[in-house]
Amino acid sequence: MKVRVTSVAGLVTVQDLGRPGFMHQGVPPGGALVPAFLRAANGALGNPEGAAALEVLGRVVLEAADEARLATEDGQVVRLRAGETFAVEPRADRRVRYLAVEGGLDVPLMMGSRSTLVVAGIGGLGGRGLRRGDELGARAPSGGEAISRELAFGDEIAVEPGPDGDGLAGEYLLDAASNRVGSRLVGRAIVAKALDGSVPLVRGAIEVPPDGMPIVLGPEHPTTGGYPVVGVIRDEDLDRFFAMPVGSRVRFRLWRSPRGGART
Amino acid sequence: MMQRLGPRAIRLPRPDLDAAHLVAAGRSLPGVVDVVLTDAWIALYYAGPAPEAAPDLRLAAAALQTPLEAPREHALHVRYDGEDLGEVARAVGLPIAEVIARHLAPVYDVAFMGFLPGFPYLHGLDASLRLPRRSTPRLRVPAGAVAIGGPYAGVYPVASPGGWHLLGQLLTPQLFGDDGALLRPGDRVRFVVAP
Repeated sequence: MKVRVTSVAGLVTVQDLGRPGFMHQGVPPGGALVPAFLRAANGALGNPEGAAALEVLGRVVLEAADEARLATEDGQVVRLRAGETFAVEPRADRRVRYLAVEGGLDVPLMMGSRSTLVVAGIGGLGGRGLRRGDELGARAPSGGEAISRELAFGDEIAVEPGPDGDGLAGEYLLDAASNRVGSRLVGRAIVAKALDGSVPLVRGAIEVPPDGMPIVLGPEHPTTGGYPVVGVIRDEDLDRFFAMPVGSRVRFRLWRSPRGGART
Repeated sequence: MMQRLGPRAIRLPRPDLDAAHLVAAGRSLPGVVDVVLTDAWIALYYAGPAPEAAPDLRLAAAALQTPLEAPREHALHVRYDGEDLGEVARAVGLPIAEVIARHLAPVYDVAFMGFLPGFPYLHGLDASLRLPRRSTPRLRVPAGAVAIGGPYAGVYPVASPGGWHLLGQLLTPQLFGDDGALLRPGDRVRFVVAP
């Protein structure tokens, strides 16, 4: 199976579930912005859940060079014959879309992953976003059973307090100046004490630069930073947060440890 | 004191152990998938929920079964033609040649890596070259730029925005390859004038 990119707008990259294990080298795990969507697209084809697929922040049109089976994160499966095209269009209800191919995209494994780390220019197809004329092949189908995975949406996001602050609560606007590194929030400014030196970071951490407007760290986040970390989004809401389209109103809710005491 | 860094990570004050042993000790702990160091902290990232009690990193370091590879020493060849060389010389009150000489003299330690994939925070910068970071960061610093910022020396492995002072450029800016970063925490770095 082979597909050719006939049109692309925005950032379209090859992603899987990322490359954990290299953060001590300054390499964030990376991978899909919304892993649940990637799993859903792969599940519709019976692929392994973490098979490499296209992450579409924008729009892409592919043309099949020979017969191909594709699926999007909403579970739609299409079969293309040679010469037929398929477009992944943006949807108003989600920030990002995924397009999986049967077997998973065949790009070289680098440090255990096929995902594109745009900030380092590594992985995926030449370490970059797709361009018109790029060709992608697929690995042999694994013969797995197709699984339908329900996508969860919601604008209420649970945040636990961070090491340098008391968390984030209330309503914020998800700013358009957001990318795979960070998602900018606009709303009530947060006051946090400036740090003396660098601190370790994590995906889902909420850091506050001097202007007080919080930034939620995405898959390509720096592994260390100089701004206070006032909160971290809870695991169960990470996919929901990164699935929300830019321009959304996000309601943050403070999560407290069931043991009492926010900080352990 | 141990602090949670979300549901799957913790940060602890950095124990007084060398960087290579800390990374190896952290990675040897059950459930740990990643380790990040800074000057003051070590963070441990878990596959599952973060633990309730702080693990003993000294114990883990002492229990390491395989001896660590000896720290590697890297000689990086630099062309000293950085955009900020003149400004740095004025700011610290030294001739340009002396700034270069003082940047060349030390053998630096990779204290930790962060900010960008493969970006080393190097300890050992001559105290007379300490300057606050630029008030307005550059939107693009080229890959291989040799720079100083605050108490650190560093090298940009990939092109990125950046606020450090640029002293020069690596002859071969290959700091990041298929196997990951060239430099590792605990490695040593010497700068050499490019012929």
